[in-house]
Amino acid sequence: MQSGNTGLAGVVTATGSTPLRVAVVEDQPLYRAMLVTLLEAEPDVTVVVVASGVSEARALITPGLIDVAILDVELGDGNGIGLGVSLRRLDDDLGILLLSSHDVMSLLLDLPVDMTKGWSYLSKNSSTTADLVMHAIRETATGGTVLDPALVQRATPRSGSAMAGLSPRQYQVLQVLAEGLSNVGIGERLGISPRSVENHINAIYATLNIESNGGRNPRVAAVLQFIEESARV
Amino acid sequence: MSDPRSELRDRRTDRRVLIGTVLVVFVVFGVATVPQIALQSAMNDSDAPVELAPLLMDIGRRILANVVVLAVVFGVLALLRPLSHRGPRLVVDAVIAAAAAGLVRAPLQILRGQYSLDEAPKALVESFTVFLLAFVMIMVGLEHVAARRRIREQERASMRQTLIASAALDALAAEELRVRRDVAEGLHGTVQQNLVVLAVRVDDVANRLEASGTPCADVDELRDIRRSIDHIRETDVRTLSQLLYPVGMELGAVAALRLLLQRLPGTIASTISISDEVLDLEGNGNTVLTVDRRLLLVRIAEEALSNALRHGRASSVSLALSLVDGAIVLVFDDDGFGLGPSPSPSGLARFSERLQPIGGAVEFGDDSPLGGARLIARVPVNRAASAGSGGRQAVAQLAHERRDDSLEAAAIFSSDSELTLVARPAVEDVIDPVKLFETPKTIGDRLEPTQ
Repeated sequence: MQSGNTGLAGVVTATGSTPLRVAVVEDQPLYRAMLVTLLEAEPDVTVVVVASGVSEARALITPGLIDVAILDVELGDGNGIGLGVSLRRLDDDLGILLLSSHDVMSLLLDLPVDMTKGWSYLSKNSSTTADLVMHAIRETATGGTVLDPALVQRATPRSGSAMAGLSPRQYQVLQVLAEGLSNVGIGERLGISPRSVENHINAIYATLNIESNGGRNPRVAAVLQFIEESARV
Repeated sequence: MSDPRSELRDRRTDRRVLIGTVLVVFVVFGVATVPQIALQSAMNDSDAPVELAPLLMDIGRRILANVVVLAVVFGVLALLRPLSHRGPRLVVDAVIAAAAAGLVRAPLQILRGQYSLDEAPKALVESFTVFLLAFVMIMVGLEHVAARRRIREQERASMRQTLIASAALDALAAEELRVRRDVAEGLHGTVQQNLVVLAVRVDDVANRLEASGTPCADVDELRDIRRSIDHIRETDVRTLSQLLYPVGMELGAVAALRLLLQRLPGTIASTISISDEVLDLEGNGNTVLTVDRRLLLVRIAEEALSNALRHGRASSVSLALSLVDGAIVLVFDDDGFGLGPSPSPSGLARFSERLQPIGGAVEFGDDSPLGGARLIARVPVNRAASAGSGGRQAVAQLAHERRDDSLEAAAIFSSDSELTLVARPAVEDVIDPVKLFETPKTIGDRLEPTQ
């Protein structure tokens, strides 16, 4: 771990577990301030870097300094996708949480194959609740992928796609999985046992042709396929 | 001249032209005529038949003498540097150099045995002739340099004009795009949010009326108004915003095209394939194309999509992007009815007009593997200057210098000969394309005609 050179780095909270260290990169001052305030109020997260653009973020974020970078997609001097890719090249364990007022989750589909885990997307319109943002940060930090729940629930399987072959229940399970919930979480949400969640997920993998023991994280692969094969009008 | 390198190059060229011209004149008068004069002189000296060996010796000596004179001319010119002078001073330089040549000539001829010391006046006459010839030779050289300079200035002025005109057009186009983007963002942000608030207020009123027992018809009417507001917000405003400036434009062509297709209704099957080369250029947040070319790609895809759905009633579309010979090639297929008996790709003709000048093209055919229509568009990638001419580098340099707080400028050059300068002002500034080049001399001075 690196202590960092930003002056903001190295903040240690009094709680027992090590808080997650995040960077906030957002060009709109009001939204940035709101996000930082929201995060500072949480005990298990610490805002290590605050930046208003790509160049500032590149200068402040050094490998190992943070666990998750929260990046606005539309930045004044560039964009969050390119910034995320370049930060990730320097730090393989870094989680990237993208924020945008547009539904840009399709952009996760173009990421280099070795870089797909640990990328999440929340809509700016629905990302104002602390619980949701914290859930996304936690999942992203451990290599999971969280998609904006409101957009996920509005999505429908695209005709002719493999995903269109899922049963309604399986599709529901996949939707909640795309929100970044664990099997237990999915079971609680849908009122089914973790065991049947597991069965559903295996059936989903089979229908979507995802190898559950392949090199890629099957959950991430399923989420990417969900993005690729859903219509979000 | 503000650029020392360019100035140095100009001086070298001028010197080359002067030396070259003087040499040509010298060869005509000082070498080519020598055998004739030598022969004449040999025949005058005696009536005996002219022998070859002495004649050749004589020719050699005469040429050597002339070369010495030429060396003196060049030597004096090198000291006087006439190329950095203008007007009468130039003539004075020529007179001095010619006089030096003439002065050297007399002793040289006496030394060579051409004249005895008694014949000094004769030698002086020859010196004067040499002076005149040298003067003419130098003046021809200097005049040639002046003519070349005038042509160079004219070429530069015209290049400067072209550059300013092209940059002004591009700046205007960029400004229009900026305004469109701002309006689109305003529609997407402020207008959308205001409509959301309005819808909630209408709902509140409906709820209150319902609670107070107002007739059902009024409440229903209000609910209907609320639905209309939602529809306007979701459909009309969004469409208008997309028309002005497609979503994702700032994120690269791949992003903009993906976001275009992801909004297709779920009943339409769609696939996208993008080559790694295109991803490196315009995917994953990379942006290499100028905004106008990216917009062109997105608009062409929109047009193809609209043709497929409206006229072809397609249920499946596919979009592929690849890089071929320095151009992004977009292939759009559908499974619709195809072009039909009377295709009217009027929208595509519009794109064709815009693509042609930049070396691109768009074709529309009935030969899609999906069974419907196929569109192929080629949009050349305009990449940053690398092996371009000095002019391109000059603009790149200028753009680099102008990169300050108030103006962010980037010079981007197409793979063809077209030259574009994209200037993006800070949001508060309104760009004045003329002001951008208020010192056009700076550009012009750096412009070098491609050698």
